[in-house]
Amino acid sequence: MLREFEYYRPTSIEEAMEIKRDHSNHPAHYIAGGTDVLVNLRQNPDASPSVLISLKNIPDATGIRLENGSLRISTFTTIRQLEKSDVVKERFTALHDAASQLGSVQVRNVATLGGNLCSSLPSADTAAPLLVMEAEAVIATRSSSKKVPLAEFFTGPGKNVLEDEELLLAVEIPEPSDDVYTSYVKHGRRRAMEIALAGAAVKLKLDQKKSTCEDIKLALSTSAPTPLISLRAQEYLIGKELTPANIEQAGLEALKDASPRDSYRTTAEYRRLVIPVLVKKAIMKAMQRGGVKNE
Amino acid sequence: MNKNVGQSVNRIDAQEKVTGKALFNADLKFPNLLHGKVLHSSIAHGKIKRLEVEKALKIPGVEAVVTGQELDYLGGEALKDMPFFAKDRVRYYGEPVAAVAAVDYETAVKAVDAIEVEYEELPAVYDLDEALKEDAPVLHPDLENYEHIKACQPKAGTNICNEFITEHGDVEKGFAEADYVYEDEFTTPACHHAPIEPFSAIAKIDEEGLIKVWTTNSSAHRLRKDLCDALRVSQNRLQIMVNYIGGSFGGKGGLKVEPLAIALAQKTKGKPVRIVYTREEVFTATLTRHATKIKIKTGVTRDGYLTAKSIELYYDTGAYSEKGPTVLIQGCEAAGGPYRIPNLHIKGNCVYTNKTIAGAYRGYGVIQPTWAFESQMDLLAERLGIDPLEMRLKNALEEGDPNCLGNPVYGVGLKECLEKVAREINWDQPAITDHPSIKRAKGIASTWEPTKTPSGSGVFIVLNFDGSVNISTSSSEVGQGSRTVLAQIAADALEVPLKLIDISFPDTHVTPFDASTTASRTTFHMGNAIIKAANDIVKEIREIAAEMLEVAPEDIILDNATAYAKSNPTQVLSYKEIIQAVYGAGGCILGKAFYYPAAKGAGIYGAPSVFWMFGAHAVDLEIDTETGQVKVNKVAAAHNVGKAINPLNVIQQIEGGVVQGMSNCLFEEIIRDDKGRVVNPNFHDYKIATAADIPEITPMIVEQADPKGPYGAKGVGEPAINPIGVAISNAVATATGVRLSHMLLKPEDLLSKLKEKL
Repeated sequence: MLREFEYYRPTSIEEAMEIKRDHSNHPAHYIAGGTDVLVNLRQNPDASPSVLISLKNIPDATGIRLENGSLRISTFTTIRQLEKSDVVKERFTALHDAASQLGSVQVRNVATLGGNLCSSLPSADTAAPLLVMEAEAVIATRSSSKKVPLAEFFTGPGKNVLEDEELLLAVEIPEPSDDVYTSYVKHGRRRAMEIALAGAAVKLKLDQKKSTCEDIKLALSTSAPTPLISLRAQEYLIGKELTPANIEQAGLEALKDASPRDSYRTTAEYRRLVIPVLVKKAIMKAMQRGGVKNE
Repeated sequence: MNKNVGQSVNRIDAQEKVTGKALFNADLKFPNLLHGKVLHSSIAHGKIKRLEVEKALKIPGVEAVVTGQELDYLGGEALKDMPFFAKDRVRYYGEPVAAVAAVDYETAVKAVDAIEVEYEELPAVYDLDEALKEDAPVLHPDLENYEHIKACQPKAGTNICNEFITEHGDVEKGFAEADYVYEDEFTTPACHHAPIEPFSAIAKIDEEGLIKVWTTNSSAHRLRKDLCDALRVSQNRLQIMVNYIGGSFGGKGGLKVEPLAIALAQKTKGKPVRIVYTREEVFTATLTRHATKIKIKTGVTRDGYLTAKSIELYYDTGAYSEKGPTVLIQGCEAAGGPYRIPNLHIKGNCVYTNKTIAGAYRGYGVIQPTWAFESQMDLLAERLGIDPLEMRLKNALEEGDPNCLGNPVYGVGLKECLEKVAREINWDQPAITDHPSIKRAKGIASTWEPTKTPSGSGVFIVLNFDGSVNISTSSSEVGQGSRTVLAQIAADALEVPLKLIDISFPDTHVTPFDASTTASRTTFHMGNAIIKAANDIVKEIREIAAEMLEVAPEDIILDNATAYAKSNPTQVLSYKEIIQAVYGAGGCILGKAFYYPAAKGAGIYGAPSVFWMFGAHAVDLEIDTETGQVKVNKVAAAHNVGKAINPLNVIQQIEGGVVQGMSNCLFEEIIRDDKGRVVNPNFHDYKIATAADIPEITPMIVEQADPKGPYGAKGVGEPAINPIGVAISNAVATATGVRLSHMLLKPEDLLSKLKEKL
């Protein structure tokens, strides 16, 4: 059973932040779709917040807009809206890969992008694609707002840079050029309703002959205490020909940056075995999208 | 004439279920309803040192608190070892310790939290090997004092609550005749039934002391007996009522929430008490399938003919025996496999451990030996260089053959099942894949399954004054389609249109005894009872019509709820006219029957099965050798059902069995920490197959009639789950050379074995 809690439904960002500020000595929590928060309330009633501030009634907090070479996704945009968005599918494909594999349709109908990021789990499906696409988090602060690169947003399992009443407003993603291809590969036991046992996202820039990696961004999910950019793999592959051996090696380089752990869901050992495979699959998927025929 | 039997008529419960109108137990409304909530053990094994309920009782709105100390009832189907609430000792994490009844759910939860318990932990055992060690902690020091049925043989001073030994022929002679003798060992994990509807019960005791229980239990009369035995009340003073059940899969039998609700209702002065388990409680405090360890020693000739098998089976039954002793017996009865095996020796042990109780689960103890004998069948084929399909066809039982226990079997059709599934997945053609890291292969497995024998089914049929029909039966609709199938049988047996038939829900004060809705027995047993009872009515109609039409009764033809003389088809009397002619002031025509198949031997499971069910599954699958992940491309599943009363319903049973069996084998795992606590009691981390995981399935019906079945029919629900898992494992082994002996193909384990091989 859920413990009793106070429940607020502010209608503006300012009001939401004010309520949070007024309850600074309570365990108070923002709630959007609730797919993480409510599960935690049930599973861990003793540690649950006594104040919930719903963000559902704040107008203008959803939407996907491509403007001035940048995609702005408002924080309460549902995962299903991302999955259904043509611009996300065509231009920000890795994010579409992630959105279409998160939970189930029922979960995606209520889960939000902001919630997925603010829960800040290492397994957050939208995080790795946004990391490789060099997204920025737009954060409302007490006085105004600020932008933080998503690469600096996550600070630990379930932890991020948001302080006190600060609130994630949106993410902004620079529109990739036409020679850039992205992908996200998620690994779970089932084909739906899964927390990634591990996952890999890439943004790959191909040369004109489509044989060499001009630039790459590579990130992993559930492979470290936070969603993680693999600098080693990126550095290794930039300027290299995309041969099977090089792609394989990029996976092994990514593994060096990873620090997977044992959990009841699977072993660190298994994660170590599949991380290089997922990296390889993600690169090959991006190459395929770039028109490269895999062997 | 068969107008309904053999037709895929619409399910009679389809519309009310699809529109949400169908009533399930927790939908029932009661005035003055109290809400019950149970306190469960937080440890796996220990003595209760202190149990204080005063604080809970003082909470406003709390009307009753009950603990095990106050009660001395013991329940259990074969062996009475289970207190309603733990008395002095808890034996598993999740065991009921106390319960409260309060005016609302929130108050009940608060009151349960206010109960104080202190335990002194005892050493616990979580697996078979540990529990069987000589110095293992003994869970039930009083084992020898428990009442039990004759078929159950507990071993005092050990954790063995039933030892079952049987043999046929001479195994030593059989091994001597063999060219090769192989010994292999297999294990299977526990898994959960995962019914969508949680367990619930409402209990109310009226002023005269009549105990009324509304529950999700699949087997009302068995529940009544077990409760009456435990409570020491006569069977007409306890009334069990059941509505639609949202899935049972064998789990919704035995004593679950019912005794807990009754114990509370004994203290609430006539107010009804309802307990609805949460999903977490369903996972930890109800039932699982038995984990097993099975050793098979098999003698085989160079040509691939089986000469003897010696099998040891160990069933992990958790903290209390529940149906474990008879699950073991049925597993042992089937452990040889559906093959000609002239010499057989079986030894089975049912063993206590400090875990959630294991009991009946779709397949009643047979999926585990199916995993073992069909894994070994492929190993034998490989060792002898024989094709796995041919190996099975060589040894398969045929019509009238004595089975491995020497009892002849009828309505077999196994070879036809094997040949059909092999053809459907193109067994003869190679499995091709163009990805270097993906391996693809096909696999096959067969199964058989007995039903509980002897067991009885009673029915009353009433032909009403207006010509409509009421059927009073205790068979439960657990989703398997029994209401529809029984109505089809009744309609044809009575020669009335289907729409005139109404099938009751179980109510032990009204509907007569039925042993249980389990063991794929309903179509056969209740179907036979209905035909027998319908004959009473048909006979009376004929006699009255014969008199009215002035012909002999044997000259009367019945058709579409009318009667006419063979010699004069133009003068037609409706059933309504017939009944109203004789009973002008109002009346009915009654039919009754109690079907109890003749059987050698007595008592539960004392006799050879009255029918056997046979089937085979084949799969085409791929395995990713870099991740260990299995992707099933296609499943072909054939079952001999004797006669499909409703072919679409049979097809759906087969599909459901395939999905559940595949899910068991690929995904499902009850995970415990080192203290025996379940860490994944939810549908996120206890993984059942989602719609996205379900492969293409081709269900196929074989109709080799059972001589004793109604219209030749027998069951299909249980065997449909048995062979799919091992067919998958056999395909994985063919694809990769890697075979897991444990019935859970975790990618982690497959990948580590694949890496070892490289």
